[in-house]
Amino acid sequence: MGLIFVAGTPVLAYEPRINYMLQCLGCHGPDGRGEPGHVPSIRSTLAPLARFAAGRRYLVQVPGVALSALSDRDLAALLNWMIPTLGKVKPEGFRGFTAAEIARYRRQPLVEISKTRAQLMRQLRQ
Amino acid sequence: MARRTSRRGLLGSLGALLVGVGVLPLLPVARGAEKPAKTDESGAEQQKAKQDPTSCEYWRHCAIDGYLCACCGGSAAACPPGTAQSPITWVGTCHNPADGLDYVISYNDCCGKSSCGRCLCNRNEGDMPLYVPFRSNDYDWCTGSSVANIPYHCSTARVLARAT
Repeated sequence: MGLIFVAGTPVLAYEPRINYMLQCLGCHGPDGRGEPGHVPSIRSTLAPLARFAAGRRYLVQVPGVALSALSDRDLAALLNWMIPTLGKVKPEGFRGFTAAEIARYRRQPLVEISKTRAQLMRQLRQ
Repeated sequence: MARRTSRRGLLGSLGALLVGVGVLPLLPVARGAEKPAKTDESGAEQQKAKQDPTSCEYWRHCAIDGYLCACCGGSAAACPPGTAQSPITWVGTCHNPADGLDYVISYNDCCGKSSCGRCLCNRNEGDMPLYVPFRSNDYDWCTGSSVANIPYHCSTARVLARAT
């Protein structure tokens, strides 16, 4: 655990692998497979969604990400760890998120969550 | 001396002393007969409880809310026979005083049998109200599992990793 000072305030910072355990693993499972019928697997959707603007926006606006207690910078680091690790793509195979991109999308609430997701999944299948 | 004291006073003091002497040896015996006291201030007892998986004070139980599986036929890491572990779980960190390090702990519920009823613990460190759903441990984590059915039996506290 490292102690990082952001604008004079000390915050406890964990590495992305530990943040995944603390913030995501409870539902998505240790490998992102989720729980059939309850929590969808994120393994096959993470990397394809990160390839286009609407998909990237959804990855940030989905409530588990947007409403988490993590900072924009920690969220960017977490997604940039999750996509190659769980999504099985090479780190150079996708464009990483920056804290600024997270901040921009995160502050626009996603209202129609299921509808947006269904639409994106249709796009991925095409 | 004779003016300030009386025979009655002397007898009273002696009596109090006798009763006091009689009570003193009882104290440790009475304390020892109790279950490991959660409010026990003695350092040794507390240190022992922090390494005992059947105690609420066990170091892994810092955010526990439920019955300890170690008291219900299972262990701190395994469900008792006849129950299934919920894959959906509450995760937090606890400090291990033995090595001074923090660890990621997964509180997997064991489900499929009615409440165990033994060793109810409710430490809830780091727990948030229900309106912060990702950090609240007040949910029944047996819900949402396909193997484990809804009845909640007890909770485990598995170590996932060192919190780094």
